[in-house]
Amino acid sequence: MATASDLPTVTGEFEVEQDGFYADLADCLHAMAQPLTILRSAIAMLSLANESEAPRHRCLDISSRQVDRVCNLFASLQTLVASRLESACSAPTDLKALLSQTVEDQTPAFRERGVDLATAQMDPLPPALGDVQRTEQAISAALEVALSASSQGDRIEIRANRVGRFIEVIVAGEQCRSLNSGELVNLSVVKANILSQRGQYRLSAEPFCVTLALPVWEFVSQSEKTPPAAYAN
Amino acid sequence: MQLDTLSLDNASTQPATSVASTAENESEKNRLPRELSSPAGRRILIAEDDVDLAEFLSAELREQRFIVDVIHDGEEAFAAIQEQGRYNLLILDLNLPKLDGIALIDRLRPLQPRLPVLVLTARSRVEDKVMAIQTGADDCLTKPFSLLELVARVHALLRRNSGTVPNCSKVGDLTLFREERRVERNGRRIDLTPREFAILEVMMRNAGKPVSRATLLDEVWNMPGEPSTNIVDVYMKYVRDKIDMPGEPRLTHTIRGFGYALREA
Repeated sequence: MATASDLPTVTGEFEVEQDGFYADLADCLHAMAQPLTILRSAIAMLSLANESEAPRHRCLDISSRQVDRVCNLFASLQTLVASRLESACSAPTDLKALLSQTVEDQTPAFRERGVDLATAQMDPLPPALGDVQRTEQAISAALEVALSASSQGDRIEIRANRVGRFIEVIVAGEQCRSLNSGELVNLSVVKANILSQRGQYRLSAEPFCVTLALPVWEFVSQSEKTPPAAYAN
Repeated sequence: MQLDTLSLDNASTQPATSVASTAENESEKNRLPRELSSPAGRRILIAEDDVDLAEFLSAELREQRFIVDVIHDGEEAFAAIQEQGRYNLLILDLNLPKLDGIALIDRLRPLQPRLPVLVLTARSRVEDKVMAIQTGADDCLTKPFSLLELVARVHALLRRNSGTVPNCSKVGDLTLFREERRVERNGRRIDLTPREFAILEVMMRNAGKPVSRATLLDEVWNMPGEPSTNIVDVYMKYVRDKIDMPGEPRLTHTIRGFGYALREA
């Protein structure tokens, strides 16, 4: 059983983290309000639509797209909460292999939108401390945002390199437009996932560039490689 | 899609079922020019950063025969709306990138005090809505709302603002051109700041009648209530110094303890 000394101390840092978490939740709820407005309207219109089929089909199409959007946002919300409440696995992770697999999985979506996804030449990398599932989720989400913020003909570059005691993964685009609420929620998921693995996260919105950094396995102390007892599953 | 409820606001253009309502319709038609009593020709700007929502709203409003433009950031929206008379209504999301909705209204109001602004917000806090309205919004809808409610409110706002205001108003030898934002007295061009112009525009609309300080504070600064500062008097003095030059008959008059009037002596 966890003792009081195992629990995280309520410090300024904890409060900042907590405020950030609530801000992310608020962003998520704000993002949900957009598709819910369209859904609510489409349902109201459906109830008023006359007998012709075309308007009904249009309402149903609109509803279906927005249901997908809401479901994705709910999934993001769930991930945000889970990444805070459940501890991440701490295992040596081959980021280069993970990156290759993620890029392979995402390439069809990029092709479909006419956006070029390029992987930069990478030197051999040492294993990082991380949770394979969360890291894969974070990289995928970063790529999804990069794709969503891109236009046909744009190029997204992904690369990984070692910087001191960290391995950085950089997803960089060419677009300079502001990110919408749904994209910001996806980035909150990226951030929550990476921070939960003792990593670091940076975002530069114009042009779009996300940097995720995970500690190099060999530089992490033994105690940090084991999750705190209070959080252990 | 034609929605039954949406046509309710267009009653003046629909066939009437009784003599009384026909007479009312005729009276309404006589009072309002046709283009002001129906959506056709009414131009709306939607400033909303969510692309799906903006496209959805614009498509449905176009179905209603409105002319609709869509912009996704605050700075661009402010630039578009500055042209006097281009839009009949602004639908404004508060959470815009580059320039948020509240700041946009704040900048817009001195330039366009009469443009109806319908604010959309996903913030449900009462304080946010109060702030939007105090800054100068005319109405506020909280997301998720229904399109039916939005359209009803659009019609209501346009109806409220459909009284015809001529481009040109005259009091004595003082002339104000609204669209050109130009003021002349006896051929002399008078340069006014946006705030001074807004004051004179209110005075011109109420020419010959007393206008209270509270009314000026409300209409020009969008601050309802009794003035607790002398800001109205200060700006009125600026206006007066530019309008009534030495040797000219006085057009601006102080009504002690109340406000001001614009009239020939």
